[in-house]
Amino acid sequence: MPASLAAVKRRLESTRNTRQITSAMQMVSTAKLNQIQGHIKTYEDYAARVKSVLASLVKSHNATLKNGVSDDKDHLGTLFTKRPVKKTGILVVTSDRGLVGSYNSNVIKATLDRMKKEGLTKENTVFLTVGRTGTEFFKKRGMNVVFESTGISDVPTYREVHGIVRGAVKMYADGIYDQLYLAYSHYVNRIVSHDRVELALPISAESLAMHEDHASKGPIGAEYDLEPDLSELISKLVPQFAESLIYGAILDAKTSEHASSANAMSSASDNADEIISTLQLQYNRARQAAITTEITEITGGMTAQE
Amino acid sequence: MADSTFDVTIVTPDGTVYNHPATMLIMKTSEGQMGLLKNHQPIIAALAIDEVRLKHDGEGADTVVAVNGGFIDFDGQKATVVAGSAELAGKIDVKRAQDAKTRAEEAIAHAKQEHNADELARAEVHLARALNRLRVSGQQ
Repeated sequence: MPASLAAVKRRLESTRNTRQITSAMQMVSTAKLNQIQGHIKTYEDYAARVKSVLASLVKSHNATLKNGVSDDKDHLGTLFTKRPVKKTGILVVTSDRGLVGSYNSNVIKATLDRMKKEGLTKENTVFLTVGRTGTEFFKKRGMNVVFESTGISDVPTYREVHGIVRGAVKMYADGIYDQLYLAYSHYVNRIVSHDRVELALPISAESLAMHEDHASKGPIGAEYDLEPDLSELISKLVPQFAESLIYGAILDAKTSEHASSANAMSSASDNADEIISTLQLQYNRARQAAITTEITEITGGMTAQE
Repeated sequence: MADSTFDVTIVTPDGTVYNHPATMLIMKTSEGQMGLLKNHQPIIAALAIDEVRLKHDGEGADTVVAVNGGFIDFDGQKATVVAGSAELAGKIDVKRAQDAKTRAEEAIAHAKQEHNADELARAEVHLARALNRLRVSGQQ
């Protein structure tokens, strides 16, 4: 192998350094992943309670409607009502930085696929973006980004993302868009994430019904005092529920981001290991070749002196 | 003494803030102030941006928690407060609350100038929250 000893050595060392960095980054991502998973548990507890109470309220609301007035869902407020879709909002959650493997491109691709499927174009879609990558991507393509949020911490607290979460619900209520999709990467386990583009607003009866199994209560009985009255209580709870849904999506995406960052870094470390072993072999061979040449020269010199 | 305590849990998306028994819970709903004792009629109520005060039957001081809205679900034996955020009086970051207050006041002034009703309403909510936190923290 003709590579010079010094050159191989330099490459070997720089690869070793890189490997050290990638394996450190892998450990950092894994630590963040563990941290956020603890946080998710507390969030789920919160979300489950909001859901279960809202579901029971809605159920008893529907029950009273059947007994009394017309079966008119409008009482539940705008967040439940389907209206003709003129504008669509898409909230895309991506990462701020790179080194996360195919995480960002997958989310963006899933978003674009869904847009094509639903016949959404630049003109009738507005974007809300979390994370720099997505913001830049959609802006560069001349899409209408109405809300952007970057620099979210690794374990986002509710307070931190409250602005975008509130904004997303409010823009829907104000009629800036008539339906809201959430595009994010759903964390399955440390290896697998699924890209999801799902309809978040208007809140469908199914998304509430889905959680009825978990809810321990049925419709709220007559023994319950409600303050203020039922429909007002629902109208106060619904935004809280919608906000918790969106916050959940952001948390889920962040978890998935840490997982895919840990994965990307672990495969980078594996690659580095492979390169190191090839280079080490090259280095040993080159060194051996140099030694052999030296010995030949020395013996050659000795023979000449005799 | 008969056991008159009931479990109180305060949950927010950022974790459980409080999970202990108490003998009495005083809160402010959107209709007005009310207190809950054990075996009170089950109730679900929307809370105002205000304090929730927990009494421990003379043992130790009351626990005061600043809640930003949310609701309470009480079934007679167990109370659960579910709010977007809640802070124990001792843990409130007074400086941050002060900053939030100043910011909200600026936003209100700005919104009034521009006659932006939306922004005004939002800033007023922010101000109410900051004031609530300051008030609660001052009591501890």
